Amino acid sequence: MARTKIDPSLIPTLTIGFQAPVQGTSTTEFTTTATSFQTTNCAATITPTSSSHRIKITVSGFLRTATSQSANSYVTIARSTTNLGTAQGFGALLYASAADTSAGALVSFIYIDSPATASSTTYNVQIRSDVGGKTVGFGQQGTQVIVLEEIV
Amino acid sequence: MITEHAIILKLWEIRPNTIWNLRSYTYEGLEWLDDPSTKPTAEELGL
Repeated sequence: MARTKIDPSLIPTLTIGFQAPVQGTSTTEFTTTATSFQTTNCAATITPTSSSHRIKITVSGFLRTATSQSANSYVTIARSTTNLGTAQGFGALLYASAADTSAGALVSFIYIDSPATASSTTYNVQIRSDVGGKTVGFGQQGTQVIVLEEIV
Repeated sequence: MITEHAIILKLWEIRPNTIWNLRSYTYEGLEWLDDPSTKPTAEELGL
């Protein structure tokens, strides 16, 4: 069988990786009764080495609707004050019925952002209620985490 | 089991259906967003 020798210099070089990750954590719960997204205690700041680099954001934390509040809780990521998700953020915790006493779950999600800046940039987790005056929370159980990784 | 902190229970009792943020279970952590109602005092919240 004939063998073909490949000249390594002809192989395109593909370099991809991550800069050192930045992690923000909190063990203090944030609660709100607002229907607009509100900044929680979970945040981290990164300074990209190039404005063309993208940022991978990973979030994990306990999202909940408080006891007998009959409201859905929405969670999102914000770059400073700019919501990177939709009006429903990146998802919701839906209460099942008015008879439920409470609802809560560990939520985790990932997003890749293009901040188009090499300046210090803060990302934070925001939550909101879908019914004004009804309490929702983020971080009641365990540790909330946000991890930022610059893709180079 | 989800349990509610005393400050949240007190807020529900003395200012039901109002709009606020609570960044810690302290009076300093209470941000009042409701208009025209007023932020309760620390004494009202039992703090």
